[in-house]
Amino acid sequence: MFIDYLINLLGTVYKVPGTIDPDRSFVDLEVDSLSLAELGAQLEDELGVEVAEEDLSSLTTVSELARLLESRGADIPA
Amino acid sequence: MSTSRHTSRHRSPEVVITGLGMVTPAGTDTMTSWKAVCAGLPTAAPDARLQGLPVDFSCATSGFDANRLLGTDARRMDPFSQYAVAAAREAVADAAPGDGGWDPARVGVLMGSACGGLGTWLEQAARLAEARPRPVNPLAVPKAIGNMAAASVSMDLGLHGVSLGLSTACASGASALGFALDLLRAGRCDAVLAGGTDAAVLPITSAGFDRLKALSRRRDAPSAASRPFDRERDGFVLAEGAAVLVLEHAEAARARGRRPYARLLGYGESSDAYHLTSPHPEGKGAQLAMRQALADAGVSASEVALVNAHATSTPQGDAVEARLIEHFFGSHTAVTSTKGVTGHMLGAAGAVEAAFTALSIDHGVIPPTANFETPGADVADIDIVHRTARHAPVPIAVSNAFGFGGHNAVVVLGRP
Repeated sequence: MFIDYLINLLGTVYKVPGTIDPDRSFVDLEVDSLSLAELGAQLEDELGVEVAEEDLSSLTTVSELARLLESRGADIPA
Repeated sequence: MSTSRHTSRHRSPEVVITGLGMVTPAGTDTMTSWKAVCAGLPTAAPDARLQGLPVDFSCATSGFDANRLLGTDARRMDPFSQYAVAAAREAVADAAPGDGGWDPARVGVLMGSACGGLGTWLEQAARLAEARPRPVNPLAVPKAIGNMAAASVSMDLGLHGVSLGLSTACASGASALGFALDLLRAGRCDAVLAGGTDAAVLPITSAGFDRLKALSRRRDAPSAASRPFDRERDGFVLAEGAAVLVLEHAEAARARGRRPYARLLGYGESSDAYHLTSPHPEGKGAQLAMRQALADAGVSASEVALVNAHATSTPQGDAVEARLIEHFFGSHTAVTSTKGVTGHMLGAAGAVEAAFTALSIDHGVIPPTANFETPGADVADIDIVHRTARHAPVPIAVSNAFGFGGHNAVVVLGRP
């Protein structure tokens, strides 16, 4: 469920164009380092979990991040 | 600087104002703001952001919708940048450079601001004070730093010329116009988007200016609080917004058939070198700026038909400025302060008022000084337009802006 949430976020807020393959990394999706830092902060604010720098690098894939959020017990906001 | 009349005007290429854009408490675009200012409708009202403070009212840009204008990019800008981008888009659309009309490398951006991204600094500092493990947003610094209004305008419009944020406190918007004029005269740019912006209606500024006794405390009747030159004035009303003017060489405007609002004839910029917050009691720095501006424009005081005064509605500032105006222009030049309607937009004020001055020249209409009824005993004998707008030709006009620290900026505009 976090995969869909992240794909939606990346497409709308971070303007990643086209269909987003969750097995691609952020560098492949051309999400720059400022956007990546911002994404981490946004997830912390919205989901109430910690996403440290080492959890989220340009080599992280969307599905890896989704698994991480799930393992931390994040709640998708209503 | 030339001392003889009509010299500098011919020495330099003629610079004209071909585009106006603004976000003010009186409207989220130029024409809405201008109509409200001409109608003399004050905008001061209670402000929920200031609830519980000794001064809990302001002139707010309540109709401004950043998300509608900027989409998700809005989150990456402090409101001081959002206002600037909104005003810049309107100004460029108005100037209508057309396809291929400007070389982006030759278009500059000069944006004045007194407070920059102060709201973002405070919001993020509050998060830091909560001592959460990772409290500060990565956008905190890039949103808040003072150059970002100029940088955001350059980014938004794809302009590659000089992009500069500057601050002379509440003179910033007028200073930006002056230095833009220099860039154009020097041939460094073909066009410059010059203006001012501030989004500092915040608890810290309300409380801080109040501690200086600079703000009106007319809580029982906020709409009557901003009353420049009036006997009952007791301070200014905090306001927010931005204005951007497109300045360019007259020849370029002529070549594409864009009739300018006005010419920017000259400017003066000086420092009182006197006091943190008070103007020089004899207005010496302001006099210097006015002399410089008139000489730079190559006009004599008797040719000036209108002064758009800085007059913020403070007891001391308005009295000093009224003496300055009387000293140069006597009682036969029309004087207005549009702050009766807009309140004091801080670093945006000088640009907004220069834009209104350009419209006065273009329309032959002088907006009234809202709330002005009876001149203060300390206000010199000058012709303050009040009650209703005055219809009169305005061939040449002056717009004043003064800032904490003793900054004085005066711009001279004329009919094209």
